[in-house]
Amino acid sequence: MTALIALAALWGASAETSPLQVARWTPVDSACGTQERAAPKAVFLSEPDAGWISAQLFVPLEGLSQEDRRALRCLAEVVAEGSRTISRPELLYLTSSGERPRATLEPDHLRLRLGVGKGELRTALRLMRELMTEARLEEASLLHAIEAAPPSREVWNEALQGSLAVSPDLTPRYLRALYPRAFDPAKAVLAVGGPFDAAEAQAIWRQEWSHWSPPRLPRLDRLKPVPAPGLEVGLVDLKGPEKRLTEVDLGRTLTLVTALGVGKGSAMHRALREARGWSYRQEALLTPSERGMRVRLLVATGRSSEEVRSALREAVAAWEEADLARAKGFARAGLSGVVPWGGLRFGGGALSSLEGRTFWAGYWPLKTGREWAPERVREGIDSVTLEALRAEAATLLDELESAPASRENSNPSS
Amino acid sequence: MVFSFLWMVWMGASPALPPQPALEEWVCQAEPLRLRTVLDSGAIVLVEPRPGSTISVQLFATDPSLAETPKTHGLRHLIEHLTLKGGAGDLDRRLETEGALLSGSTLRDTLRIGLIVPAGRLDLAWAALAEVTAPLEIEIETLARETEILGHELRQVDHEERLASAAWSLVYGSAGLDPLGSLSVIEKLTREQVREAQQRLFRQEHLTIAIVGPVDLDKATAEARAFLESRPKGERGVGANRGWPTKPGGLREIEEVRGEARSAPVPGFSDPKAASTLAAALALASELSDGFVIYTPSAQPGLVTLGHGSADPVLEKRLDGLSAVEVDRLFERGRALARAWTARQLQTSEGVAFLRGLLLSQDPAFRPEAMLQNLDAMRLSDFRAAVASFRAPRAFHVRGKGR
Repeated sequence: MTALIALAALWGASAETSPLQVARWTPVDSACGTQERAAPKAVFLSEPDAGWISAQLFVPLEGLSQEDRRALRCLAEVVAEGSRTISRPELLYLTSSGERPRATLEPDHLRLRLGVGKGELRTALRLMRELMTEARLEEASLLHAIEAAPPSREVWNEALQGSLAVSPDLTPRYLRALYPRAFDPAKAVLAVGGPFDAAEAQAIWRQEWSHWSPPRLPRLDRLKPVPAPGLEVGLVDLKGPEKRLTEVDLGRTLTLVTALGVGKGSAMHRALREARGWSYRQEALLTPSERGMRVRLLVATGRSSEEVRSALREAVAAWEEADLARAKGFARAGLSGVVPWGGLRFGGGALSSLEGRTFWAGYWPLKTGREWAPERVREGIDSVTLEALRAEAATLLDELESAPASRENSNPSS
Repeated sequence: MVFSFLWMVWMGASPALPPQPALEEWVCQAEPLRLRTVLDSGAIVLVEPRPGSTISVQLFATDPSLAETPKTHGLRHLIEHLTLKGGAGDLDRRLETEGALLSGSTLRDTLRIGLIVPAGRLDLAWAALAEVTAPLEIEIETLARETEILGHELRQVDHEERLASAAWSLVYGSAGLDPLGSLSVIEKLTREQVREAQQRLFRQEHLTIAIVGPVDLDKATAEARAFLESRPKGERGVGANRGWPTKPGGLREIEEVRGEARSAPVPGFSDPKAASTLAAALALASELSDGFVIYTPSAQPGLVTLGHGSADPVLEKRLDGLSAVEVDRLFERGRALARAWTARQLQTSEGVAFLRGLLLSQDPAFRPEAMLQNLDAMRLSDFRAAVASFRAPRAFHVRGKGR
């Protein structure tokens, strides 16, 4: 009940609007016993009043080449389509009271998620285990995913996600060989949130893996690299240094990111778009990197990165208390899901939903090795002063490096 | 921002069912409480109380006399950009400080101003709307700068939207100009033209307000009504109807765009043919890799477009090559996809306010349920006819020549 009070107060959620009743942490470290060693770590978030169960598996991308990561995007299209024993229609039926299974690729992890109805925890855990070890991966579906691997639909996504084009060497066979390497139970983390008993969930999860033994990994040849395609408009892409963040750091950095480039009241919108007319679209975001997180500033413009940096330095120096108040208010509202908010590019949901809370419960320990403590994020936001905000922004602007994705002045008309 | 199309669906490799919402977001009642009020002026208020922590308020400004023409192509889009700044130029900052959000979009038949405000803070919406609908005071420099920003925006239009725009022009000629605008036209617009059009557009008779969220039905209706009645009043603008296309089909090739599309004209939103054409498009697109469907509900004749973003021209083979049996097999899938998509629009407060407000701004009798009823009543013969409208020789085909 302590957790209820802390979290509900933290995110301004009333008893009517938040389904959260109890947040109990039961991280399962299954590194004991031969058979249990292979089971992925799991975090069970018990919320007795939730109406469904959200299960999310996080697979880190560490160690995979860029080509394999792009190939993984094709695998993500197919992996949630059924297992050896469960067909796609059955899978859709089993998850019809929750959330359709789907997988998405993020900068530092692949997330496989699904939802089932209340009382169907066993089904959720079985489906998760099967999808990560025995996915159906039909030839036709894999071929379809490779053929459909898009040139990105728009320039902004291409800049954010990198080129989506896959190697011409990519085959269904390659994807099948990549699958057990990527979905390595020793590296993955499962997070499950919903109305169940955490200890019982833990026992079912262990039981689910009791008869599983790691497969022999098939040979995997290197894929030919694919050259990055050119972008159609000029783009300044500035990357800050990679940092490991605590929850408090996360709150402070989110405030900084919001002040710089989230929302129309941000420095980037006002200085680059409104005051100078340099760009239609510009934003700052916090994005995961290999070993931490980094701030990124993106501006679709024909101007140079130095011009952008200089305009922002000027804007930051002129920040007032009203800018700080806006950044804090918008960061809090965005993180809690009150408004659609683009400051975080993690693929995770807002804390106002069960899915969002389950995401953070699983992703944060995977990323940082620390238990997710949202009240500390709020403390971080609250702790930022105007002076500190200006100083941190000025330091960041000095540290930003122009990323290879930048296409400065590539379009003279823009 | 131009948001030219309401229904834009990408069909992935697994199109059978759309993503489902979390159960906690579902409202378990067949027909929620909802009140539509039509004022004497023709202005409309729709209020739907719905649990949640935010209220969505959407204002639609629809003046048929301001429909895009070759001489004013982009005027409404420019007005949208300028009005969102607010009177003092810091409206966004004030709203974001309160955890609220302001957005706008120019659609083919209407201009939308949207607000998301925290529960209990409808006052923020009224203050913001009063500011954005007040007569514009525009400096020459502001106009020039905003024109430059629009130029940046036009260069970022994605391939699917460019294909759809080309299809509209192919089918409806100058009556099918996109809402984005043409930079060469926008550059010539004067402050007086913009100001006059903005004041006309935001007159009471052209406005529809939809409010969805944790509100008191009567109180929110009264507040919206008071806001609308505070607006100047006049005669509703009259514009030319797009008219049904007389050409049977056609082909247009466009440079520097990747992908291809097939389009079929449809009557107004509540016509059964609109439902069967949408169902056919969704079913056919589900057969394509990287397929998409675009449809903008309208009281006037419109267009349903399906296509894909790949450089390989596959539509001829994949659509024209379908056997009669294969078409029939898509019937139930098309109905299910169209139903699911319609229902999905109504799962969030923003979605409800947007779809219901948009439909009401087109015709006070329009409701999303008309689409669902027409889908239920759709016969196999209707579906077959709709599929045929996407196939040679009847379809309008746009092919991008970019790689």
